[in-house]
Amino acid sequence: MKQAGIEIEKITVRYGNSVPVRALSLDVKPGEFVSLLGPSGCGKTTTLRSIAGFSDIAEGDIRIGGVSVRDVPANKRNIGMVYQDYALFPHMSVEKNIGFGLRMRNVSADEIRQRAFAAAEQLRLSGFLDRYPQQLSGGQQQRVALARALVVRPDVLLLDEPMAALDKQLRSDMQFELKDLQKSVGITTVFVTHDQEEALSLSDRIAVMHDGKILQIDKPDTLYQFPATRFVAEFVGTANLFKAKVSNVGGKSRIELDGLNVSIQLDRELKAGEVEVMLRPEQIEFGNEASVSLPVRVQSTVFVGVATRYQVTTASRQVVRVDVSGVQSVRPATGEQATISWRLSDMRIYRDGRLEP
Amino acid sequence: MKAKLGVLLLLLPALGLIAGFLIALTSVLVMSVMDSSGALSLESYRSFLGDERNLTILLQSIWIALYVTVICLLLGYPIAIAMSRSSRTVASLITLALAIQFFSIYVVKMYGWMLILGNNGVINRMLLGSGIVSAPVKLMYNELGVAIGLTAAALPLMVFPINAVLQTISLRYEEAALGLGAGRLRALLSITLPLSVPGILSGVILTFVFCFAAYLTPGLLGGGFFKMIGNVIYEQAVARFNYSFAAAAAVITLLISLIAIVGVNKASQVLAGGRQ
Amino acid sequence: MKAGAARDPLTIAATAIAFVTLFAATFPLFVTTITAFNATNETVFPPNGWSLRWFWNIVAQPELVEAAAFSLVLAVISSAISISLGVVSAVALTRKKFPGRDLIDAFLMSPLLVPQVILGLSFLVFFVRIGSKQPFLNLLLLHVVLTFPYALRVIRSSLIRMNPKLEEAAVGLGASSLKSFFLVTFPQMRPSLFVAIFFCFVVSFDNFTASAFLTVSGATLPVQIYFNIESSLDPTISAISALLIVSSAFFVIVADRVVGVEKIV
Repeated sequence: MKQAGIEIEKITVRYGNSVPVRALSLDVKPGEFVSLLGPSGCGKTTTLRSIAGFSDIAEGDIRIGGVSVRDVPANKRNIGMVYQDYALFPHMSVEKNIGFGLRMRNVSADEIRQRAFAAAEQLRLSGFLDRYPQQLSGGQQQRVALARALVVRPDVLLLDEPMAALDKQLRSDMQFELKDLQKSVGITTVFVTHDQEEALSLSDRIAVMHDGKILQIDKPDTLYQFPATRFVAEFVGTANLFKAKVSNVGGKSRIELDGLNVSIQLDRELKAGEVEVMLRPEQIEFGNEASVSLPVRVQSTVFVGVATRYQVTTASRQVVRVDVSGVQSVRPATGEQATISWRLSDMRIYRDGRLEP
Repeated sequence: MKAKLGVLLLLLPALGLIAGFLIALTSVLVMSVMDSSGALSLESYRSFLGDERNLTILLQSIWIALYVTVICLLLGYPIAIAMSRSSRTVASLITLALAIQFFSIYVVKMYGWMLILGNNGVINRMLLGSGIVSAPVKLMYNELGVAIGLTAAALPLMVFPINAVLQTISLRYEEAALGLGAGRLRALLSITLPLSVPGILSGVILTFVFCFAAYLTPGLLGGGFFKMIGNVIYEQAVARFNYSFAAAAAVITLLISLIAIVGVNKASQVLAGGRQ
Repeated sequence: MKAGAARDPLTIAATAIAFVTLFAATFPLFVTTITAFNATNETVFPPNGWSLRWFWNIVAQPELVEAAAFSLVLAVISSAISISLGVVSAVALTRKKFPGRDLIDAFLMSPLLVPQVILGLSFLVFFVRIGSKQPFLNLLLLHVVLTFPYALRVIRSSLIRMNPKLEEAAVGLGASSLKSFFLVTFPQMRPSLFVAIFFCFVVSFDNFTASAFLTVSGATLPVQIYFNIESSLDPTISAISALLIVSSAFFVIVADRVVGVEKIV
């Protein structure tokens, strides 16, 4: 399959007075899987729809495979799109649904049949070609939608929250299936979701969106470990945030957590002033082995399978979340006093909501 | 911009059609303020309102429409309840019967009532045959006959909108009320009835306007002995070519209908006021 | 869907009221049908004897046959026009948001608010003023105005219920907007078109009150029946009424089988 990249250059979308997308730029490399992740109303679906040609862009340009599609209508863009509710044609059989795009491209009936069969085979739908969408389960409907989108050999695949309607188990199965399929077909894919776990597990890169803009675009692990802004830190994964002050004495910086008698010597120099310190729950452990430690009181615990999730409170009554995985041995009980600690290198420091380098 | 122009083009034929209808409606208004020579005059209104017979007919049209509406509501609400709550089979049987009655030709329906209510009709033959009465009881060619005919004709107009609203009200609300200790009737009256007010109001409007401006039913079952405003308009326009007078009567009829519609809507806003 | 609900005494009472009322409301239709089989020229129930002569007598009354044919043609043509207009207008009203859309919608539905006598008189006065002496065309215009709002309402509500993503998905797969309408939207409108045809046909064929104003010559069937009832009560009227009752009941039952009766009420 030919691989086409997508270059989005400073696009702005306006609906009357609202501006759901503001001067957004994004490059998707050929064959890459990029997720647009953000809360509802952040402009992620509008961005996807403007790639598809369903939202008019007021400014900027979109190129698919190096060619501007600004003036190409949606039906000539050669895209494959999968909707949250799949939008399968209820009056057509699975075979007709899958073959629809080929029919629109004036492919011969024989070839439509062959290619629909092949696509159905690839997506384990061979036994269902004569059924109607209403007769299929959610997972089967989703595979029909994927087959319908892929059978036309589109330049790009656009997925608008395709997993949202599936239950949890099926969703995780489909995530693996989708990832395998995308890699084997090698198609450039843009995936819209508000589910961070889904984005983290599927994507080559994730673009976190807020208010019509991309806040950060990075590989999943980088995004998780080095959130560029406080918003990203809070939206992707769980963030424990402490208000703190930086002071400089003799060329070294110290951080004091507000309301707590903790002073941390940093290994680098920072500008003095008010900051926030961010820590992931699983980077905190009980005991005082790590470099920074803090006395707390255990408020509640929840067992979630892979880990035990703790809520503890500091002397300043701030709630801190701690995840203890199966291998860690220290497990204080509710109501007990304990000490939490973390490594200096796991601390992220934000000033005015932005990550300090 | 291009898309909007396209929409306008698509709507143009229908807009033209309804504009034509409004022009026709306006021509009635114009006709009502013209005398026979075509000059501007309120003569038709004066002669309509100056004649006690017309006023009597107007008032009795309002009166009969009012009480037929109440009867239709009293009969129609339980029917709508039965349609939305009884078992699937029973509900579709009721719906089917109502639909067959509703979609029968109106004039045929009224003719059927004449066969029932007439001097030689089903009821009188039964009464005479069993010796309960010695002379036929007058059941039609009077107000009673017209009221019966109007009730039969208007009943579906009351049931359908109420049913449409009841279908959308979850039975869970009433179950919740029952769970909180309300009795069946209490739950119906305090939960379902208030929620179905929009359906009741549109049923009331449809029924009232239909009855008030009726022409066919009083024509057949009133037989010239009990007249309604519709009969006056028709006679003046078609039999006497007195278009101006008919137009004045029509404008008054339309005005009263509109007042009724606006009045009921206002009443509903007042009723719903607490919820907004 | 309503399991257990029927045991509730209030529902049982309501059902009883419904049965009694509907029996009374449909009884005249039954009586009418039976009286068509009277042996004598008395239209009485129960009949004085049985015969089919009054059915044959319909054919002997050319004005009834002519009126029936006239009404049929009028209903077919006016329904066809109203439904074409209804499809086009409903698409325009549901596809695009534009200022004043609700106002236009209300404007197009306005004939439903006006009582039939006033509609009839309006068209009579209008045609007299413009001097139109085309009884068929005059009635046709009236009937299109009468039926169009029903067509619009039915088709519009089916378009509103339709998933707008479907047409978009078709466009995304390469269909032009015209193709996506005819291949995706239109096939799904079929049940609503059936309902619309049913409504338009019945509204037109059944219309008496408004049509009576325009039928000095060339009467519609309901108007002709009305005149016949006023002049005589021989069982021929019962015979034609019986045919109408049976055929409208038949169409209601067909509609029930095809789209479900709850869609047409």
